[in-house]
Amino acid sequence: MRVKVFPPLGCDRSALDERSWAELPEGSTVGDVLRIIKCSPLKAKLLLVSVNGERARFGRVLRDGDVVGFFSLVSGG
Amino acid sequence: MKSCMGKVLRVDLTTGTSTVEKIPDEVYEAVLSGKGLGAWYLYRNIPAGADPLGPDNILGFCSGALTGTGTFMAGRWTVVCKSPLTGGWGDANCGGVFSPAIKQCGYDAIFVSGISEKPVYLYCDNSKVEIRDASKYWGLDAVEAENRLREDNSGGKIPRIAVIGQAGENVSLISGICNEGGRIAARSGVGAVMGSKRLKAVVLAGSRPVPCADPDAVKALSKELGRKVNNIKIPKGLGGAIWAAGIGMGRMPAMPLDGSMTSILFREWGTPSNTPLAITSGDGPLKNWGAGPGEVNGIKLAMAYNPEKINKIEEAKYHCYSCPLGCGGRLDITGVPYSEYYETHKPEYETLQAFGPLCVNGDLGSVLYLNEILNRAGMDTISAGNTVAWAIECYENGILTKEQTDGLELKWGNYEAEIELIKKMINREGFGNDLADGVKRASEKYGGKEYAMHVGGQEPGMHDTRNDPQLGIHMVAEPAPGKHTIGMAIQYGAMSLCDICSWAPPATIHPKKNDLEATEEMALISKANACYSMLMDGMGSCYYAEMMGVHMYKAIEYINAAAGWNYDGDHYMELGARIQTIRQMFNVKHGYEPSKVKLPERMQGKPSLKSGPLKGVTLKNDEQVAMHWKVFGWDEKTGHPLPETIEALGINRLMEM
Repeated sequence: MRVKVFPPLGCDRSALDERSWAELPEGSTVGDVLRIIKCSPLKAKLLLVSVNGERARFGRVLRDGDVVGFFSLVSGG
Repeated sequence: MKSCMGKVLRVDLTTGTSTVEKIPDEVYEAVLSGKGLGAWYLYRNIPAGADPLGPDNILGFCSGALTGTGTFMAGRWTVVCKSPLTGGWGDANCGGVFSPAIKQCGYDAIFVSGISEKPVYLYCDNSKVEIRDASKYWGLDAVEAENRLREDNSGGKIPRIAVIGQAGENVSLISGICNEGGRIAARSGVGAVMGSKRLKAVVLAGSRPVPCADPDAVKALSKELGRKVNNIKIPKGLGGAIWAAGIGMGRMPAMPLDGSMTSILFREWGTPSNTPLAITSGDGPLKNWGAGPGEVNGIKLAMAYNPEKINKIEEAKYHCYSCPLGCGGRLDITGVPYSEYYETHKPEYETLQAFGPLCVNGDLGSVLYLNEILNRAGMDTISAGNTVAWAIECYENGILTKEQTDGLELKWGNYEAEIELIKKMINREGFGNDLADGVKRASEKYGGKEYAMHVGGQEPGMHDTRNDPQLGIHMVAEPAPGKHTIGMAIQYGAMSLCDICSWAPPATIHPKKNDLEATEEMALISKANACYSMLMDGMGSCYYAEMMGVHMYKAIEYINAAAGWNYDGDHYMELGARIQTIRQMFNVKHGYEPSKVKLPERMQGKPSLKSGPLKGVTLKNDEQVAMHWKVFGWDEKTGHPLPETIEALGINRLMEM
């Protein structure tokens, strides 16, 4: 399955394609994503790791097309 | 189109008549409603060379194609006209509840031409269209007039009202049109056009249902969006540290971001969350676009605009029509010593930046007061702030004397003088009269053109082009120049347009300096930004929905569900390109020459800033704009849409309908 991932700065993007999608086995969890992008659990918690815009636990099982994101500041307005 | 009313109302104030016009389905399929319908209608119906303040100009109030269907964040109303500020295409939009009211009267848009002999207002409901005397409301500010009009039209459905204040009545070229107690569609001088027609207000009290092809599918999308928006909470007190994050952000590379996270910021603080971030990161212009943060004590300024301070005086949050986010709020300003008003809307970031850091003013209370008097007068805070900053810099450099400023000591940070000057501008008194038409015209009279920040006659929004060259492209190439809401690099990184559009480049992690080059990739990004922005405007959707990204705000799914269509993202991006091309065709028809529109040298980094995150940055804006035009299928030298592009987009056929 494919999952879109927005890693925070300093994480490893090598497992993602140019559009930030990762190929993962069925049944993969948020924790698996954190491992492939080399994001520590503490960093992930501080940056409010989310799936599809909703706060997520590390054990959450992902589905094809899910978006794993982290809090980031975006200027605008 | 199954989410639209299929009709527009045309009113001629010279003859006092009105007609209802049916709109062919093909038009909606080609340009949707909102800004798209407005562009189609105005291109066909305003004669070339028409005086923007004359009877031939048409002022359009347009609802969105998805407004009223149950689609969340699709309640924007757009005003369109020929702009008296730029001489070309003009538009402005606003939230509130006016947009669904247009459709509830049975129309997708109301177009007003002609000039009335005396002040009037337009009243519409399910069965009536009446042009009524507005003499007793003329001279009132927008809030007072709206309240009186609501009282005088009570008895049935609560009327929704768009109204001008004194700035519009006085035909200030930087005036806008208000609703909901001073919320304003501010840009392009739309208020001056309304004032020139002696049209004080549009009062809408219809109750017709708005159609929708698949309301259950729309409801399901909205339910999902609402749940997501309200799901993530952040620790209280974090706003006080945003300035520090801004310092880091100024040094960070550009990168793809999860746009859904923007909803946290806007829900918690509204756009004021951006002010301290902008001051320290290089995003927000300082001292009339002339200084880095270190030269204006940026950290102190950033702390002065801590959004937690604003939240502390927030009496209540509010939401626009059909919005789960609720970035608006009412503030208690009884603690502001020089204010005769007891409350104001939570100011937008643009207002805070324009009268705060842009004028090196660290007094938050003065900006809250200015926010209220400008909202009531219906004057654009972006344009007014840039104009005041120009006047201050001219005064500080001896170009303006105390005699010329009517005795005002226009010095950086002198907020009392800022307030007095704004009052003079609103009432067109003395020196203020010369500034009421914006910074271009003021600098033509007094000099100081090198300090006059405008693009094609319109003052720029409060995001620094040197921090974001992508924004610099849009500020110039956008048919209504100077706007900040068409596209930015950081926004592109958050939207993931590559996931709905086959030709939109993926956002990458890269040093910001790469964005200084004129490349085809940059041009494709700016094209994608513009096309998506036009699509959202045609839908009536909010800029903040756009920033959430395509995975959070599912625009394509929404429109297919509401309209009963089954098109993909590429189809809708082409639709956006069609709207943008018609707007540019409008400019060409009216003699507005895109190639003569330039960023002010200062905004290009010529010379570059000597300190701060933008130190040493110089843009290649001309080359980037030429490349943008080229990928749009417009002539890269003139910016005129090429005949083959117009044909390929089906615009010739569309204009014959």
